[in-house]
Amino acid sequence: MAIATAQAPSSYLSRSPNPSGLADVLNIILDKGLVIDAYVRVSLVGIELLTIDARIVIASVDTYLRFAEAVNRLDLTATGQQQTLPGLIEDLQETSANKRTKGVLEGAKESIFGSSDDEDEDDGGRKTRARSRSSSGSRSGGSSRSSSKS
Amino acid sequence: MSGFYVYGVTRAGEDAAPSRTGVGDTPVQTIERGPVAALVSEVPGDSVPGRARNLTAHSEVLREAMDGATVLPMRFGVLMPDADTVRRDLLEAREDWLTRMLDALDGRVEMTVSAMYREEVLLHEVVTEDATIRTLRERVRSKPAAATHFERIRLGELVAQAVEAHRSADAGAILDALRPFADAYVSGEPLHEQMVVNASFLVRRDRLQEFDNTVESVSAARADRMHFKLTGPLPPFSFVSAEEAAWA
Repeated sequence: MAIATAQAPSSYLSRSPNPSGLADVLNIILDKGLVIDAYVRVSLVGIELLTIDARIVIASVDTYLRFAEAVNRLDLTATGQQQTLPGLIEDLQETSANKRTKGVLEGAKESIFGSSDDEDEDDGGRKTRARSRSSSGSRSGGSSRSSSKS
Repeated sequence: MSGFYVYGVTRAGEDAAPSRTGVGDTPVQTIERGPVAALVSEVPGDSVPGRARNLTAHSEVLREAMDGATVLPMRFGVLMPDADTVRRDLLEAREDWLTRMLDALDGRVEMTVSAMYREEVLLHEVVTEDATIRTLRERVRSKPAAATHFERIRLGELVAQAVEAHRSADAGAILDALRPFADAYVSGEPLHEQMVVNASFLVRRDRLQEFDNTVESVSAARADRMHFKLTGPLPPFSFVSAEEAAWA
């Protein structure tokens, strides 16, 4: 629709008429809509694991260590908050927003669907189960901040 | 064995089936019964794999269908064995409820709004605002990493709590600013620690511009701290009752 696409892109707001990418599609349609239980015929094992995985992550030791590392690296001596803007913002859009989403959701996407969309389904299911047992390990694979984790 | 994959329900006679193919690369058809109609496509087998391609097909068929019709989206993965079952168990058995829901959602679309913190700006706020965090940070920084494992966990936990407090306040203010332009809204759990808001709004089409303008001003006012994403117009995925028990 014209409304969603008419404005120029800005550094603080992205508009899209449709979900962009699988993570978006999952967020928007998963577990939503009318359902007639007797007729749901889909193997959603991997997708359910993804949502659990994405939601428990916030209160974990893994997150605490990552936060600790991030605040340790902060440079507070530079001229306060102005220093962080606006050059940093450009940088952050890459590292913070995109990469973190990628770290959590894209890692899961790979494990659900396989790196190739045409991969055999049964194989995708096994991968998902394997990943859910080692979620912290595969999460760090998506983040450049994992280097000092023990 | 084959079956009919069901995307959603519209009013009969609206001819909402899009030209694109659906799940399983088969054409999308309409099955009508009385005042309501189902958007379906015939698929082989007796289950639908939860694959990226199929999820996207489900979403895109519904999105195209909503251009010319009011659509009640089904949850991903509803497969009925034949057209008669679609008529009987979906359209006939639930006709009253479907009709009422179509009336209630007429002319309304879903807009999703998410916001993400710019992490370093947020952490800078957290550290400068909280003396305990600042002190603990200095102590951790002065020692080798191996000697501070538990202190680092404690520091991270305090930071996480402070982030949560920021999130709660920021999310409340954002939702308060956008709510007046929507008929309803649903605020979902943040999907990761940088997410401030992950919400869906049911917006009348004639108020979309107003809603968009407000998202613009809300996000511009927070440009130094957050990045926003606005998606839609979408079918009202979040505003149809998901549970069969609620169908009565």
